[in-house]
Amino acid sequence: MEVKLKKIIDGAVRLFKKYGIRSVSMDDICQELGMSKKTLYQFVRNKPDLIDKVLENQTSLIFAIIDEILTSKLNAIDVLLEASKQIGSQLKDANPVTEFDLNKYYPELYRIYLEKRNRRIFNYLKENIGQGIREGLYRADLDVDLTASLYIKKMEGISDPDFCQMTGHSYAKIFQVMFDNHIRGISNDNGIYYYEKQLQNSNF
Amino acid sequence: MDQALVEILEKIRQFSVENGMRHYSIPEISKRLQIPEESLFQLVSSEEELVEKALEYERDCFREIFERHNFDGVNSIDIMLIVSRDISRRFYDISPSVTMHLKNNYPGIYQSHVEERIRFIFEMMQLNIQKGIRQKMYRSDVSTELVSRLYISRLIDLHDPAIFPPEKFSFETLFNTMFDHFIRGIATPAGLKYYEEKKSEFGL
Repeated sequence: MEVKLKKIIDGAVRLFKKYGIRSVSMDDICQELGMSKKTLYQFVRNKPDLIDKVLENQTSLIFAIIDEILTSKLNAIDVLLEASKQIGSQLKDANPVTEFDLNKYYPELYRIYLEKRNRRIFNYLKENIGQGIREGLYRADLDVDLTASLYIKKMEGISDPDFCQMTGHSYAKIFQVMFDNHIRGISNDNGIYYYEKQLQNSNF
Repeated sequence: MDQALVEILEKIRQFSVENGMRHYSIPEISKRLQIPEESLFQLVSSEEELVEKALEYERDCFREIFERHNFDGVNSIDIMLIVSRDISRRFYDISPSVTMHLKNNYPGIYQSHVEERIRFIFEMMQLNIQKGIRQKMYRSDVSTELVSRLYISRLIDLHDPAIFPPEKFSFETLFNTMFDHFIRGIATPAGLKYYEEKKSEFGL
């Protein structure tokens, strides 16, 4: 990706995380980056185009993390632990207002983003569940498609700003509990034993 | 609730489940169920009141499941199994299209119904988790409040036909799988052993 475009995306992400999407104008982004509007519009057509590029970039970052983890030949539980550790740290400073604004003011962009993200996560999960069953860590009687769908829905649920507000917990905390619940829900005795051992070693 | 109204609400419910119902207007109900409009107007004053009463009746049936059993001194996992079996029996046949129809056509009434139901389930779940922790069936590090909310959020998710198309997953399968993963997610090793012994008794 071109250096300047990356700088624009990083600046927009910083502002969106801090103030949400709606209240950040293209002028604010120019000011944050010390860049003229003319330069900014050489890289993005308008605000929706910028948001689209930000979402694309965020998704690519997360999938790059997962792809990198998958090359390390870890077992199924370690893959999930590593992924959740890294994704959890990305979520630390996530602002529920961002999701709220996306859903309310850019519903079509948000829908396409969720569809793309969920399709890919669904496939990762199916692979992970299959791997865990083969490795004797997950229960062999799991319905792979249904388990992956349930997880996707849980992910969507925790992204819901109303849910975050209602619980009074951060995204990162909710993600951690949901993730813990998922692994315990699908693991057999061996898997749970291994998972708890890893938890003790990794300060998850 | 008036017994005559209860009988009509039960008929409406049955009809909706078996044939689907697009309109809950008094003339429509009168025609479909062959009940004179005058008889309906003796019990409710409008279509909205009829829908309100129908949803109140659903909540009463739900609450009745908890009131029917004396849960004093009963194992917390048994309580979850008994309640979920009864819920599954009573609500397995509700098509997501009925839910979507009510949600789209009577948004205010439906929203209040959902909020009241959530409040009740949340209260029951918290009591169950606290009890399970005391009985050493559930892990003591489980966040009672957060886990109760996650459970409710999943319960709501099951009615999303986009993720769980009814032609692919029946409500019974969805509910049982979600429930199974949930209990495994919070149980201690002793709780898990107990659950494994008991679940076949309940057809899970």
